Amino acid sequence: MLKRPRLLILSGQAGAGTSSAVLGLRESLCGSGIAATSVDGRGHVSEIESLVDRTVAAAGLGTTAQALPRVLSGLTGIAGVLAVHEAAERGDCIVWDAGETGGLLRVLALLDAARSEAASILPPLIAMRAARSLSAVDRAAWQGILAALRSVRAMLDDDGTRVLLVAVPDDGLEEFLADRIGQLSLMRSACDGILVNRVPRNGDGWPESWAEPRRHRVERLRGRGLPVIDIAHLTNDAPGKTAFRAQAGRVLDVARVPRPFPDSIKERDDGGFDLHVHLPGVRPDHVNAGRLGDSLVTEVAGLRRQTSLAPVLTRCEIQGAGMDSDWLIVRFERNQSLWPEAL
Amino acid sequence: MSEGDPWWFTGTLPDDKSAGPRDRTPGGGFSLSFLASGAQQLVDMAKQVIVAPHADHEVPEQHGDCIICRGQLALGEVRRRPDAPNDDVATGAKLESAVEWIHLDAARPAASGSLADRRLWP
Repeated sequence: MLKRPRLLILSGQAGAGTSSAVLGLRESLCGSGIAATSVDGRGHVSEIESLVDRTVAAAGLGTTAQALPRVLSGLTGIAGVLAVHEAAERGDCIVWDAGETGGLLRVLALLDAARSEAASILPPLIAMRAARSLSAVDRAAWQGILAALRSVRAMLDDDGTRVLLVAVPDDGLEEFLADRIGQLSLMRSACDGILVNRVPRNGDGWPESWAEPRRHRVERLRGRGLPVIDIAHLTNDAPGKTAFRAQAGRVLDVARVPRPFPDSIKERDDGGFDLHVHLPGVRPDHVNAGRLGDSLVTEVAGLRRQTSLAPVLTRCEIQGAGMDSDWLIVRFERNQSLWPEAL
Repeated sequence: MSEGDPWWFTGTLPDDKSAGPRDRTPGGGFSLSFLASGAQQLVDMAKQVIVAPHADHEVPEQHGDCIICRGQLALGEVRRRPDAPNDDVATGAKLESAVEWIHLDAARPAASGSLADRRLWP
């Protein structure tokens, strides 16, 4: 079995220095003799979207059908996935600049859909291929895309993969982290470490009235046991590369947080069923749940995940739900009109 | 990025012997042109097979047999008005009329030894 390269995924607040962190880490790793590669799949996102927009416009589609590009915006995720897939052949460690966390969550949703909701997105491509409507080159391209989705999905599950959030110690830091950590959990991932960038050090000449609250926010996170790596705000290091390089070792030492367990169903003594959805790290007041046809909609801090209900649950009504520790438990009772004895 | 680096690469590869131009032919990796070509084909096919029937679908959740509606929902995407805020992820207030929301019970405290991570709970 081939050894997968280690994958470090960095994502964070806009303007928090994610790209600088990626570069600094890669340079530091290379300096330590590790064959590290940094990837950024966002560079061609605008080209891909423009292509789709032009094509849709050229096709003369109506306003409603203009929704198509938004569906295909998953291509932004595909671009990053392709890059990681290709980079996996090049070295021992990949540092993936996943940009703003909202984009990373979209990629995770895409990969999750590719795995568990394949019927929602990919089969049409396979069907199209089967219909032999595509050229050989395009068939190969789509086959490669499918392979890349599979391999990167597997890399996300690998023990060597880490997801790190990059943030700055401004007001609202804890709220940002609570939202994003919960949303990563919703997408069956987790935050393994937090890079807090631009933390003013004591004695560096920063106005204390400005610097102290920032240091305090970092210490508060650390006091809560979160895996925080603070990056110094150096006066003469605008891109932050030097400061990031100095912390590369700590990034590599970050432990992997266990990922959420798969959903499970338990039959109760009264004939009903409980659906257990594991949401570690999610604040209960951030959770909403609902039913949409034969799907369960789970929402964390405004981000939604829709999962198809198992057939046995589609013949049930929802009695209620609640958070029990780090589990969302949805209680179902049989819809008697849909069970064999009633037919 | 130097001319020989791949499109996704940021930085330099002083020690990477594989930094030269790469084979982007089928089976040898991918280039944007392949991806773009694939996207073009997808849109062409979508127009014929998917988009035309979808054109009348105003509420995605009412058309479970439509791949675009299902794709939108799977990705948490719903169509938005041009003047709607440009959220970076799927956000609420979009499917309110369709989702049967459940009133959640009061959260139960974690049992001893739970795996719950409550470090950012208030």
